[in-house]
Amino acid sequence: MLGLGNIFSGVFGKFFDSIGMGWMTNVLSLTANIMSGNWVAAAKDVFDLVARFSDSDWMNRVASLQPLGEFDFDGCFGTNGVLSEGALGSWISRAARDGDNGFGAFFDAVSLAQDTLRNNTIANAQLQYAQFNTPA
Amino acid sequence: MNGKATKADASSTESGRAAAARERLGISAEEFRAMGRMGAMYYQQGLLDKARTIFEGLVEIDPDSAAAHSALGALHTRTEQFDAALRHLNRAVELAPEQIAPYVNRAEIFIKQGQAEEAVENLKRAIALDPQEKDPAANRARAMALGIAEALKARGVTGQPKDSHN
Repeated sequence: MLGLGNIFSGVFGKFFDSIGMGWMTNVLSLTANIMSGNWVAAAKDVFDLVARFSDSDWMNRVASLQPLGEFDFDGCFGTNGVLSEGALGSWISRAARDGDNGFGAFFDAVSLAQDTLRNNTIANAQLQYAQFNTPA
Repeated sequence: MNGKATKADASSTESGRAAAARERLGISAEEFRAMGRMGAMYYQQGLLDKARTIFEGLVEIDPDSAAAHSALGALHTRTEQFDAALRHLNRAVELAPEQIAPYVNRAEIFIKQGQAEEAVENLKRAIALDPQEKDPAANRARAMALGIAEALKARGVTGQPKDSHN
C-alpha cells in the first residue's frame, strides 16, 4: 500500500502544486485526519463522485485560486470604457449630495477604482509612447 | 419566532435601502460588474487588500448581490478567515444557488476544518452544476474530491460498508 506521503509527493503532489492546491497535501496527510470516522463515513460518496468523472481532460482546466464567481475573468483586465473617472466621481457626488453617510467602504472602493483608472491611463500612455518611439 | 421575523425584516429593510442607494447613485449592472472585475484583477495579482476594498464596497452598496458576496467569500477563504468567508458564501448561496464558486470555497473550508460530510455535500453540488467538466471552479472541486479519494485509497479505505466499522 502506498503511503500518503508517496502519493502526494508523486504525480498527485505535482498536480496539486501546479493548480495551487498544495495545501491538500498538508490537510490530507500531515494532519492525518483522513482516517477519522468522519472521512471514512463519507468515503462512499467521494468514490462515487470520482467514479463519474468522464476522463482527465478537466485536469487541464482547474481554477488555481479560490474562484470568485461572476467576477472571475480570463485574460487582461479592461473596463472597455464601462468605468470612467467621471462616472466614479458622479457616484461620490450624488452620495454626498443625498447625505449617504453609511457607505464608507463603498467610498473607499470608488476611491481605489479612481486611482486604478488613473494609473491605467498613465500606463497606456507610456506604452503608446514607447511603441511610437521604438527605433525600427 | 417573532424575534427572527423582526431581525429578518430589519435585514430586508436594510438590504432594500442599500439596493435603492445603488440605483439612486446611478450605478448600472454593467458598471457594478466592471468594479467587480477590477477587484478580481487585484485578487489575481495577489493584491488582496485592494481586492478586499473593492469587494467590501460592492457588498456595502448592494447587499443583495450574490456576485459580491461570492467574491468577498472567496477572498476570505484565501486568507483563511473562515468565519467571515462562510458568512458571505452562505449569503451568496442563498441569493443565487446556481453559482458554483461558493460551493467550491465552502468545500475547501470544510476540508480544512475536517468536516467531511459538509465538504462532500458542497463538492457534490459544485460538480453537479457543471456536468460538462468545463468550468474551472467546478474542476477545482473535482481536484479536491480526487485528492480525498486518493488519500483514502492510500489508507486502504474502499468506501465499502465494512470501512465504516474499522
